[in-house]
Amino acid sequence: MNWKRDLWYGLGLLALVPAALAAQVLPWRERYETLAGKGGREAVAAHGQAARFNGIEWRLKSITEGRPQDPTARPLPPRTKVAIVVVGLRPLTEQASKWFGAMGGTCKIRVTDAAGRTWGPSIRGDLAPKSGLSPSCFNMDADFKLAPLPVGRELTVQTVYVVPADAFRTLRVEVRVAPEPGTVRLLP
Amino acid sequence: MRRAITGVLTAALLLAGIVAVRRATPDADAKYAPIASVGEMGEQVNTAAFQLRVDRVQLARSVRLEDAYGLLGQPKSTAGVWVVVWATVAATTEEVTVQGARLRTADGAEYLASSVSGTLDKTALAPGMPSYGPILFEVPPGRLAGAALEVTVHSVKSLDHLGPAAAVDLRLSGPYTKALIEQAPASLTVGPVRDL
Amino acid sequence: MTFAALAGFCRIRSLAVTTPVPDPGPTESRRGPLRPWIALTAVVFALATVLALSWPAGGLQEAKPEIPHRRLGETSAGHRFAVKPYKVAYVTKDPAPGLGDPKDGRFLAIELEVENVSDQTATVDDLSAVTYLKISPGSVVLDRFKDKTAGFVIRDAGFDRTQLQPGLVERVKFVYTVPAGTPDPTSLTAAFRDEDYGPWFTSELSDWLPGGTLAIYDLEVSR
Repeated sequence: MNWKRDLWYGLGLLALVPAALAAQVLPWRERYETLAGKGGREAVAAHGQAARFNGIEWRLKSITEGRPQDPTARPLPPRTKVAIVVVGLRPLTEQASKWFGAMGGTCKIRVTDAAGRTWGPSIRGDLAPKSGLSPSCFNMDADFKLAPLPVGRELTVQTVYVVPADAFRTLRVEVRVAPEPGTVRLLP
Repeated sequence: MRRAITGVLTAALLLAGIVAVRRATPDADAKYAPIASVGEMGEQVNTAAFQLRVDRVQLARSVRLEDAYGLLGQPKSTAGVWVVVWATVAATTEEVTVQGARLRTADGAEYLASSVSGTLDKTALAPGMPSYGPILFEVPPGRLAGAALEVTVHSVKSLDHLGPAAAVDLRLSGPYTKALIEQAPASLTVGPVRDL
Repeated sequence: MTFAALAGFCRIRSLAVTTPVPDPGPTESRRGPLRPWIALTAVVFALATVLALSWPAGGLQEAKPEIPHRRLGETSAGHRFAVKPYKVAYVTKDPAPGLGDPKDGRFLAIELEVENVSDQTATVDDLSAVTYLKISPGSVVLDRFKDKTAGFVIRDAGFDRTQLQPGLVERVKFVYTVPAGTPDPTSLTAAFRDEDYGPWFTSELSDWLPGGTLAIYDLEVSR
């Protein structure tokens, strides 16, 4: 019964060819994701709870609407709102504490909406009142130099965004951490 | 004898087949070219990174750019003719700048947008916030007929491999282009990019 | 490796079913009259292979002519630019100051008429990267990157235009500092290198690759 044997060979091919393709393509996918900034682990926290990532406790403190202070400043694009995001970071380990003082430790705090669109911090400095809070995940000492943050001390970061008005309702925070790629999602 | 002839004919046929397949294979530039979404003028073209709608085309012998505060810049002359493409662009999911705006003429030449600042191809676009503005090109008047607009994210081609692109035909037929060139004003004031 | 195993696997299967039994009969009687044909075919194939390999590799092209020496006002056309230097001057004030008032110094300013004859937008820096300069007396080579202080299209009394669009003729000015310690230049030798747009060896993607020297200009420096 030759056709039975051919059938087995055919099934074997059907299994082997996709496996061979997958073995060639999948390693590149991981590299692509790392290059595109999307790779790495993820930590998610909802409803104001804390997410633990890289030895740091991340907590979304608030997302509020801001109003531009100066009526003579350049107007915002139509149908947009200003979102002021306040995030708290607390290192829990010594290594995490050192990350705050290292030049390579950076984080990009972005906001996204339910549709998947993302926005970065606005370059305008006049959209929110001066709060004295840090604009990003670095800790400065009295001489304005980068310094490690003591374990257990919280750093509060405030970032300001201009987002379309229809996205404001479903805003959540996405922090992309470097140098080890990773994402922390904080849902309000 | 007949086997020899059959052999030679088969060999010739296979050789022709090999040559045809080699000719039909796209070269590396075509294989890695950006993946273009094609559209008409006035129609919204959607790509993975941005959405584009071309509204109209103007020609001029010299332009003066107006900035967001209403200040008029110095007149800029050109050795050819200025082509001002007015378009609306919006980012899809992430911030983007459509710096790879090119005019592709019928003879295959590509004209990258002018490096003057304040045009739509130098404006940072955020998702959900479309902008309307001009893209400027300098083109020899004799080569303008049949030109199409091609927009990608980067002005350096090697960064655009397999990236998103939009291609829009500008409906510049021969007689229409000739009329546009004859009626092109000596000076045109070009307004700034506006948020929509 | 997996693909080779698959291919060999399929081939073995088909051979097992279709190899014919060889026929030993008529070969003996054909040996005599066939030998000249074999020899002729072998010679023809050898020649055809040599031609087929050398033709695409460029072995059948004519030997390249010598590099022409040209003077002020003469045009040299390559694959990317057609250049015509029309003025060379030695000045003591910076002709294209970046900020503020022109500073004092020793500058060599070259003005050329350039046409971009390729089909892609180029910049003034693309042209200065293939312009090799040597000033005399002293045959001092100017560094075409480090000694260059400005390169721009002469238009509208500004210094910010740098693009050279295909098919348009523009006047371009390059300004270089004369290195300290060299005597004031009286003549300039400018060599322009041609470029070819084609695929790289390694990636097959196209880019501008260096070509041969287009022309050497022997120019007088005016004051």
